[in-house]
Amino acid sequence: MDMSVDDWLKQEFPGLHIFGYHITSPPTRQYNCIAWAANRNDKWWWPIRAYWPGHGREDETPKSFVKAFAELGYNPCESDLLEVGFEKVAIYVGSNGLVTHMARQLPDGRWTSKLGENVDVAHNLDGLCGDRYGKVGKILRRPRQVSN
Amino acid sequence: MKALAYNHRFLHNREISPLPTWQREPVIPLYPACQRPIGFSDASRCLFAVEKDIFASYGLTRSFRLPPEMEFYTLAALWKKETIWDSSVTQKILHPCYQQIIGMGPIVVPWILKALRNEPDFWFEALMAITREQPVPAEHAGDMQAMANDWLEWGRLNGYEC
Repeated sequence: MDMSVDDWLKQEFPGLHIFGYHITSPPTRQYNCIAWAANRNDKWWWPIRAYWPGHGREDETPKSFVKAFAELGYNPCESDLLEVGFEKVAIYVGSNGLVTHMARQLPDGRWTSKLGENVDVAHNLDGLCGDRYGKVGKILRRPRQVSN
Repeated sequence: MKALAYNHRFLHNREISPLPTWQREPVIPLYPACQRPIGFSDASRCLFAVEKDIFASYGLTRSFRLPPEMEFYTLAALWKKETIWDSSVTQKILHPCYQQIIGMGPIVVPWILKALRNEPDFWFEALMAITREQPVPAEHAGDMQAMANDWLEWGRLNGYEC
């Protein structure tokens, strides 16, 4: 049985249909959500058995991701609301305490995510919370880059 | 024809003969699964007991194996379906289907290389585990196309069609 991407999204991420979303790119394995959060689309970023910025290998805990994104200028913050002059990323953490996903805030306040090997979507931060990606564990921010 | 044959079994309302053998329904003997033989030697009794266990276990067994190539593609499809939303490479390679594919051994290498030629995918760990080779240089880590090309080059050098 063939399912459309929308049906599949509805099944895997019920929150997307509650909070709204739209697909912004076709599926690709060239990059993943971590790379996309860092505004890159050329490599698969992951601390283990993939590309990872910075020095040395890390584990899959939020601490490793905070450390890697610190090298890109991000620092932890409390609020996921849009702040003028800042860009933010969100780290999703699963029930086992390990990172499952990251999203990046768009200039209009919505968030953009690459969903594994599948499509990119623009969405609400709560739209991806659930069984698969867990919940938002940390928010990081940095001064908005001129190129964005 | 069958009704006619049955009518011929009776003459003046009396049955004149049983059905000829070629008209009888085939009977599947329940023995020895359901009956214990009487009057056989102890050795035969043991044998019948073993057969009975085999019959019983046969009724409970539903497992069978697909041909290896079909098994590989079935496992690969299920692995892909269940891990396509994951960014974690660890989640992908620890998936039971992926581990089963690794467990199939060197027989899967040509099929994996064929899949890689069609589209880069996370087959690198399986190839590493099976072949105990690592043709991907550190600077290609995370670059799916470059990693696939490294493995395809390794495949050509080792006599695989890819």
